Amino acid sequence: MSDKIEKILQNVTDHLRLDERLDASRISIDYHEGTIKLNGLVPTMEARNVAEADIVQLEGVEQVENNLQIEPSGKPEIPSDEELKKKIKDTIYFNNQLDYSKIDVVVNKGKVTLIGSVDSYSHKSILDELISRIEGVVSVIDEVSVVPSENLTDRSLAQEILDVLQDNQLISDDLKIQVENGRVTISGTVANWNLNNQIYKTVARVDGVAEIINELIVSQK
Amino acid sequence: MAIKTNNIKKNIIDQLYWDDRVVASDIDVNVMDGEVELVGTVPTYGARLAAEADAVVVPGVRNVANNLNVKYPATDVMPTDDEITSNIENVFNWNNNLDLSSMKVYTEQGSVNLEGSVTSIWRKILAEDLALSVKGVVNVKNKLSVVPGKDVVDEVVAEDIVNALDRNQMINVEDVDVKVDNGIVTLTGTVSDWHTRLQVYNTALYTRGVIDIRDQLVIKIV
Repeated sequence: MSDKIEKILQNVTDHLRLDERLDASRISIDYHEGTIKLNGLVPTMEARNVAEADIVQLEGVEQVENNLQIEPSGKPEIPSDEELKKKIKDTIYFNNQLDYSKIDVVVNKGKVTLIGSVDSYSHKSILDELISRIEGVVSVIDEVSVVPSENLTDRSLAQEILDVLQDNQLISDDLKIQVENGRVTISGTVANWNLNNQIYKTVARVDGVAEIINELIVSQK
Repeated sequence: MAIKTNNIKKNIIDQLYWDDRVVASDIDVNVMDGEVELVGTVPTYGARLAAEADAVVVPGVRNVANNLNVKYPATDVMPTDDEITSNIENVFNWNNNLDLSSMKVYTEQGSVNLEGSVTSIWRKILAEDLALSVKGVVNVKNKLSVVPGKDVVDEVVAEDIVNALDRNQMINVEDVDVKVDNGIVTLTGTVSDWHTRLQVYNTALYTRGVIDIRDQLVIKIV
């Protein structure tokens, strides 16, 4: 293995080991032509996301293939499906932004399916984030639809999104926004993953957005 | 290049209008020499923070004074203080990053008090974030102390942070200075934009042994 690849692997290992949020003891990594593959086990979906987010920014890493599987650590005991469903429903109920009466939860061996509706795209993101933190959740199928309360025409929504990106210093020359029935397609190139995420998160918070298709390409020039 | 006050105010108001977490018509924005004041009401504590976050990224803004009050819609059925406390304790229990046994939660008229200790600063922030997302919460007073579990050596913490910054292809590590004193991290130097600043801050935040962070980074537009 070349020195360069060894260094990249070492960096990834160090970075995962030093992030206090992660127990990286069950994670192993592979490198192949710029792609880092994450293999092994983590206790929650949140940890899975954190591991991936941690390493996309590292030198030498062009892509991340996240094969991490969720296996709850078992302390305390792994909850039954009924217990998990109650925890999830309570979590949604406690949250001051979500309307629990419009969201239904089905749990089968730790696999969660979410059905129903929320009134904005950012609420859908909040929902996914809340669920991913709960230990015992092995996977999430999110079939919640977004029914926006704002009724903007596609054209004015596209313009609003561009204005917002401008205000947040996220606009670039080849960034393109297309809107069709509230479904937003973002395309163009950005210099790094951080910008990619910032743009996505900013668009997700705009009133009227029902769905986002992110076709941004991350490419350093 | 001095950015006109009118532009700053307009941009902040635009930010608040498009942000669906915030009801912009209930918020007044006052701007003077880049100093911003937010006055009015918001429906949740999270919205209060969202409004501030929206204002802070606008070019020309030097500082934001957040004087917004949290006022839940009159139609909402509010939980009692005991219910709020119990709900927060459940949320903490279900999060595998927090140890409820070393923490204490109590609520007075929607104002939540967090006491006790956690082992790292990001857990302190996590506890506050989780608490403020609970229905009925009007304010969170975070008095959690950060007591790292193991012996912490300042030099090691500083080295860990610097190495992590160096590995990050977005950050120019030569422009950032990291000092650690009894677990308190001071960040000085320059970054090119707000997003990079956040990256540097977060790198320090999740490093083992950090008790607090003083962020004195300056955004220098190249």
